[in-house]
Amino acid sequence: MTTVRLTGGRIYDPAHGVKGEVRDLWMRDGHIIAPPAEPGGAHTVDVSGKVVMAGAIDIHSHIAGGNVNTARVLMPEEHLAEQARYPQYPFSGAKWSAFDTGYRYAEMGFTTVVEPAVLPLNAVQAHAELAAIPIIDTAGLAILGNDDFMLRLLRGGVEQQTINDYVAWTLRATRCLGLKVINAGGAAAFKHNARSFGLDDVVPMYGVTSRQILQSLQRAVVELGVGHPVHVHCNNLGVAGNVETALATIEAAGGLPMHLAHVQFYGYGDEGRRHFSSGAARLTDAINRNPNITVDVGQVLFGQTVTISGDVLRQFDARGIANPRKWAVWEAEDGGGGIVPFKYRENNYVNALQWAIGLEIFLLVDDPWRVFFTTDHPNGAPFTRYPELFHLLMDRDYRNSWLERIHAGAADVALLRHLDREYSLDDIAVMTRAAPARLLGLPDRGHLGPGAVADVAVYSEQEDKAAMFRRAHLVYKNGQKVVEDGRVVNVVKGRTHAVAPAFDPGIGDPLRDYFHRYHLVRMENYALLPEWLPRTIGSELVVH
Amino acid sequence: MTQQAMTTEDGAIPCPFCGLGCDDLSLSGGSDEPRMEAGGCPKAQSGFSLAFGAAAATPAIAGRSCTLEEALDHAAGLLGGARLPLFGGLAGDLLDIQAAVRLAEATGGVVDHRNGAGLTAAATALQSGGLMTTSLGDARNRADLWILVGDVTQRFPRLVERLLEPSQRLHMEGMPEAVVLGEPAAEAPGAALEHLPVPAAALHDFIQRLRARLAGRGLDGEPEAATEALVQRLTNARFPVFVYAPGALGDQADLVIRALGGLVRTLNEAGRAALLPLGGGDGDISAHQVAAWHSGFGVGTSFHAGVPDYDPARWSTGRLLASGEADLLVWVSPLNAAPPPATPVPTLVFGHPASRFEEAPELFVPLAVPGVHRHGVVHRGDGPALVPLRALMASELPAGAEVFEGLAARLATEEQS
Ligand code: SF4
Ligand SMILES: [Zn+2]
Repeated sequence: MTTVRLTGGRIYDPAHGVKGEVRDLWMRDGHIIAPPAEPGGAHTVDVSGKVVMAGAIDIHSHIAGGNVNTARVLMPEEHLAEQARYPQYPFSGAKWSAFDTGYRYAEMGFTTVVEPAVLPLNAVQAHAELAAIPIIDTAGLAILGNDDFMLRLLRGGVEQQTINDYVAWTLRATRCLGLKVINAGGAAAFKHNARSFGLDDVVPMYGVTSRQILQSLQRAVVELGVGHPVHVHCNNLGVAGNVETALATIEAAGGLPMHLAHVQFYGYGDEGRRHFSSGAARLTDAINRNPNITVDVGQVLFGQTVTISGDVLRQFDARGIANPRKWAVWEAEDGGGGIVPFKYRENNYVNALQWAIGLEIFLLVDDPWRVFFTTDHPNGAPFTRYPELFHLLMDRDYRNSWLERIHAGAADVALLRHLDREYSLDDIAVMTRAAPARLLGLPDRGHLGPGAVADVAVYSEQEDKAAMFRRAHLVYKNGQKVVEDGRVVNVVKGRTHAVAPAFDPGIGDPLRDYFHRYHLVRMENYALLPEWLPRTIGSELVVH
Repeated sequence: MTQQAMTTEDGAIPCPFCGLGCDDLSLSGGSDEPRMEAGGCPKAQSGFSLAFGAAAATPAIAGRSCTLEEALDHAAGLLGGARLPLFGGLAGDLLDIQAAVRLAEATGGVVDHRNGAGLTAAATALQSGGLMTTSLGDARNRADLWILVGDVTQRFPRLVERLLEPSQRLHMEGMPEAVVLGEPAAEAPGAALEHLPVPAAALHDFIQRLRARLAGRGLDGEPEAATEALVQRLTNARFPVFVYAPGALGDQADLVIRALGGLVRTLNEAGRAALLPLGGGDGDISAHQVAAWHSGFGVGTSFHAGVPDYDPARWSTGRLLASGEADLLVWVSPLNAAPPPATPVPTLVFGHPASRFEEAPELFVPLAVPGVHRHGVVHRGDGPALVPLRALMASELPAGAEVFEGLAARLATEEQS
């Protein structure tokens, strides 16, 4: 394979402390290499003056699985096709499709994306969809915490080791990269007609609290040595005053690693005339004081979207605000989900404040290594709108111009108007490259050191940061050029990443017995063997 | 999941022959002469024995045997020249269907499923207001009152055994109650379930009356004893579940489903209840799901204009064949040996090796039956669960995906030259 040299670019590689220095970058055989002693025969690409970063990584974006797919079917009017964007490539006119997901992420310079909510029962579908997404690498996070087997283990007071074995078995059975907990116990309680569920509420029939479930799963992930900490969707999402829940959850983490997803949706106080206020200062203060905590924001941007969540209790509760007026809630063995279309409006007090709270969280967390870019796609906004979000954070004047446009009451009470911070390109590179790779336990990406996969994005710097990041000048995936001038020029196949922690095979006996008693699926047909996905749906699985 | 063709009595062999997705079957006889043993049902028995006995079929052009290469060349020629190819049937597993949908897009065709009417009724009901559903396993464990709407016990032979008479359930003592709502004939012989006769044409009205009563509204005329009794039972039940096959509800299916959806929403204001729609098998739920993540829409979608155009009424198999708009029928049916619809339109059958024809089609390519001749995967009829399928015997039959990918490659080369 030929050696490629990108020459003259300004490199942003925070993992190696490189901040915009002009350097050459070398790639060969799909990897970054050190400058070769004899560079003869290298293909040189002049990127003078351009910004060069590793491929971006999205740690939380709902891009696959039955819940996402039902949202597609529920809302055909929202993604009517107009024209094929790339007539030479498959399904390029199919908005919201697996294919469109790959093309659009690649155009922005993203090369790895994590689907954060894989229901084990539905894991094969999630993998089939991930395998269909072109260009980018993917991974899934497996959901536990509302499953009857786990709740039984806790009710029975088993040793932590048994929980660890079960978690490891699940991660292998689903071929996922990490563990997701969604409103622990909430979906199980909803089955018994609970309509709200907090951190210290008890799951009916099991006598265990949400806190106990969360803590035992968190510990399992730590003790198993899984790279990515437990990825938590807290209780009480979207409820005024729920910053208390987020603060209590941070306390409950007990100093051990925990990732809190889309915290904007937990940044709410209940003060003021409208009983809805920003809790961003309190939340970020706790985040800043607890170095074991990482968060992604789940930024809201104004416009029509659809909320997709495994928090079935919350989604049912949100049915009244569906816009347009239709919604779907589904339950299954060990979980469920809901789809509620929603339109965030800038002249609505609550929506405008949600927008401001997200930005406040971004700007008030001191350590860019612990706060991540997400819109919780599509819950706060579609991922295609990340460039606007970068612009808002990098350009205070632009941000302030928005404060003039949103609901005046919200703009008045928001802290945002007092925040002058502007993100630098280095911050962006930390938050979208170096830090996510570290958080996910993927040391081969997110940086540009020798040995890293040659996932590289090159941008043309410009005043309008949204324009800069919307269409990358060049993108390489595994050393192959896939995007040029913001357009996909080569459709390669992405890989799917997973972990395979060891466990005591003794867990198989109670599991087999459990499936026999209560499931319509045999355990043997539920757990995916490593060779099965590649042989059937054609995933290229990389086990870390 | 077993990688080799296997014949064992391990009681964990999945069945691809209806939407119930049973995976507790056993085989005997070795891979040369496999026979179904324990578990299963008559439908599974006949499905497996038909496939076991048909492993050696060869392709044919207009009834004359040919090689696979010749067959694919012929198919590529016809597909390349077609104005609007219709990819119908789609009775296969996820892998067959995915490859067929991709070929349909590449050739500007239409995708529809043989159960397209049921899929469309379900999708239309969803799109018009949304639905609250549950899954087979969840309902098995938690339902205390089953309402079987229309024919389900005939379509899903083991439904009563697997769902209504489980040996153990979560947090539940005793067996659930069950009521069949529908035509007197809607019940499988021997099922012996309680029956509330409602003619198909009156189903929608009956459900609306139930809903009105549950919401506390009065009705015109005398209260009917049957309605009142059912209202009482629904009110008292902890988790009533309404199970139905959208494809079995007739012309008014989308209205009936919407009415049921409204009823379940009403019940959930104070308690819990759910719908349990069941795909009828033949990979219909896989077709729906695969179409959705490829195109954004379900089946009933055309790629003729270079972008997906979702219009199930316009792009239905029946209409396209009757109107002659489709000039080539690509009938994909490795799971189902029934013949394609009779039509003057030239027909390419990529089907079950034991496919029966009244008249030899333009082309017949026998495919591996997923779950018999090759590994595969198919959705269970309720949606969230998927059933991994095992190769049970050695076979030379090509997989649908292999054939469709081969066709796509041929067409791409033709385009370039
Ligand atoms: S009920 Fe359906 S899935 Fe079960 S054995 Fe019979 S045909 Fe197969
Ligand atoms: Zn999310």
